[in-house]
Amino acid sequence: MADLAHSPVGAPKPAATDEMVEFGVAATSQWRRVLRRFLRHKLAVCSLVVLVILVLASFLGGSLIAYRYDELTKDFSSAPSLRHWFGTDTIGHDTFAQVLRGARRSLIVALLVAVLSTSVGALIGVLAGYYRGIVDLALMRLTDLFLTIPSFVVLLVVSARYRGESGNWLALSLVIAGFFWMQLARVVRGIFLSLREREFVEAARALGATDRRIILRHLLPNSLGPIIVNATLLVGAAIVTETALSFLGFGIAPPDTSLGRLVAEGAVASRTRWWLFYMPGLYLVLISLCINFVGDGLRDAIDPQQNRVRA
Amino acid sequence: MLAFTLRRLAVSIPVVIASSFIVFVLVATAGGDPLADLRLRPGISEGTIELRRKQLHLDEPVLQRYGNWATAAITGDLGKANGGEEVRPLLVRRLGVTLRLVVFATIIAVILAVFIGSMGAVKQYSKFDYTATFFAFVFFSMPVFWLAAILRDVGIRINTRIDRHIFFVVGEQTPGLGGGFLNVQADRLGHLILPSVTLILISMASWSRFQRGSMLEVLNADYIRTARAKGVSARRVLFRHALRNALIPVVTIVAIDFATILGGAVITETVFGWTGMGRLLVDGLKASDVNVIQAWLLVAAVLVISFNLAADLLYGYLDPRTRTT
Repeated sequence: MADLAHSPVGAPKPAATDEMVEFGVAATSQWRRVLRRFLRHKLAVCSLVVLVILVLASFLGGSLIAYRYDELTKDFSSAPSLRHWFGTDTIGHDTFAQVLRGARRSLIVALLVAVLSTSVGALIGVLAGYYRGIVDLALMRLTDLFLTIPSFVVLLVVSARYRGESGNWLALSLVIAGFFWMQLARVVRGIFLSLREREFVEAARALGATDRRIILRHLLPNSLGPIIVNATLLVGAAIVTETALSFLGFGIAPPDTSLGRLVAEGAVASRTRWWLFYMPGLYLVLISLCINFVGDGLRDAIDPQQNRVRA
Repeated sequence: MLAFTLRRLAVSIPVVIASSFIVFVLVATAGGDPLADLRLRPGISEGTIELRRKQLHLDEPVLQRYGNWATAAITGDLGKANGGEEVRPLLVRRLGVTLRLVVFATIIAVILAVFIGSMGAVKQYSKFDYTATFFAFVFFSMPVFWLAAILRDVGIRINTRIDRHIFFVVGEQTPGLGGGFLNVQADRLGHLILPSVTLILISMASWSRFQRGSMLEVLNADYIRTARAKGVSARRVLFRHALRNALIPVVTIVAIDFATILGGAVITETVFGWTGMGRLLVDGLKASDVNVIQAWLLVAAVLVISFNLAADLLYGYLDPRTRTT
């Protein structure tokens, strides 16, 4: 405070970095506007808060709650109570601890899928949209081809190979990501096709900027909004896909577990020990619902003009 | 329109070939060992395994295998399953069961989605709109397997509570049921209810949002204002001018979503214990039954591409401006 009070008016400001000269002012105000619009979206903000709590619980919760996931407590098949929030199974496992562990694995897979497929999709979209011509034609035909493949079914087939292999979550993420990049590739290509004709790109090129610089410094930051929205919604889609595969027995293999496996195990006993089935499912739906609300709020905040709906 | 149709049809054929090739290679390289089952069984000699490998052409390069398989598939020969059964009649039988579910659920889902979506657009920001939007989000976020398992659970609970068997939760029909054609159809319809509700709720969620967006766009168009200004009745504007045009994008989305519905049907069938395509695939995968898996994927790819083609043609028919390409 003292520093602030005594700082002389008109003292030289700290030297601006290279990046700030080029983007600084416009970029911050744009993202600040996005933030303000997002904060006005009450449902999205609430969902974000709930989502953060759920994610933090999944990653840190294991060490905060009273029971470990592999601990055999003395309570067998007890319904949800203050001692065991989500109840226990027949041999005394605390279901809440199990759910947190499953959620962590499901989230890791979903985040990995989102990162991988966003990178691949963005790369393909960038190449197709920037270089056009034969590159565009080849990449877009490939994208169309992937879109005609019934992806969930093919995912089942491919992940069947890793069925039952413990520690298969990495392979599973790679496989799912392989079928999740197409939509983003199309979106990014569309943006690049229109942006590359704009004056600021022409100006940059006239100043001697390389393709690499134009793509990374001028075009990519301008298409960041849709990419972020798409990546958010991809996390939601990926978590549902992973759990569905695990539910059918083709996803995460024991001794590892995921929310899908927990639901599948609980479904057998849904009439006598309902909590084993409903609790993991509720946790899963809450995560996916929050992600979708946040993604929708982000979309509205980043591009308020468009009236596009979720396809 | 004829030239447009022929051009589109011609484009689809290489897509089918390329798609089936990709799928074939994926299964051949990543689909697991089809001989694993044989190897694990005691008392099977090395010679038998070798013979089986020859029968399945596993000793040949992938490209050649694809060639052989594709040539046979064109003539309708899809090979034999591990158990020795011909794949084609098996597949046809199972496909009938699954299509019953998919077609029934899709028709009802489309009708409901169009109604709810249009209502939401006409009464934008009303209580109805907000409720519909919220539930669309909920069902959109809900994994098919969980919704299916919940509905099954609820069905069983209601049956036990009122001590009568009103909801069927296992299988696609009661085995060995007599009593004539009508009785059998009624029984099938009963079994259809819960699995269909699952698929309807999930697909309706995104379609109704799509219909809402499309309807909003049309309602804000100039020609609607013109029609209103001319004094056309509100009803006529809504049904004749707005709805007809708003339906165009939705029709295509439904056709394009066919692959997703198929995936959803596989899961729903598994939960409700149907012996349809879903069961065929899951069993086939667990036994690494290559011929069954390949045939399944070929049928799925052809169906998906046909529906995409249908969407294209329909779009061209409904909106002549898009016929140029």
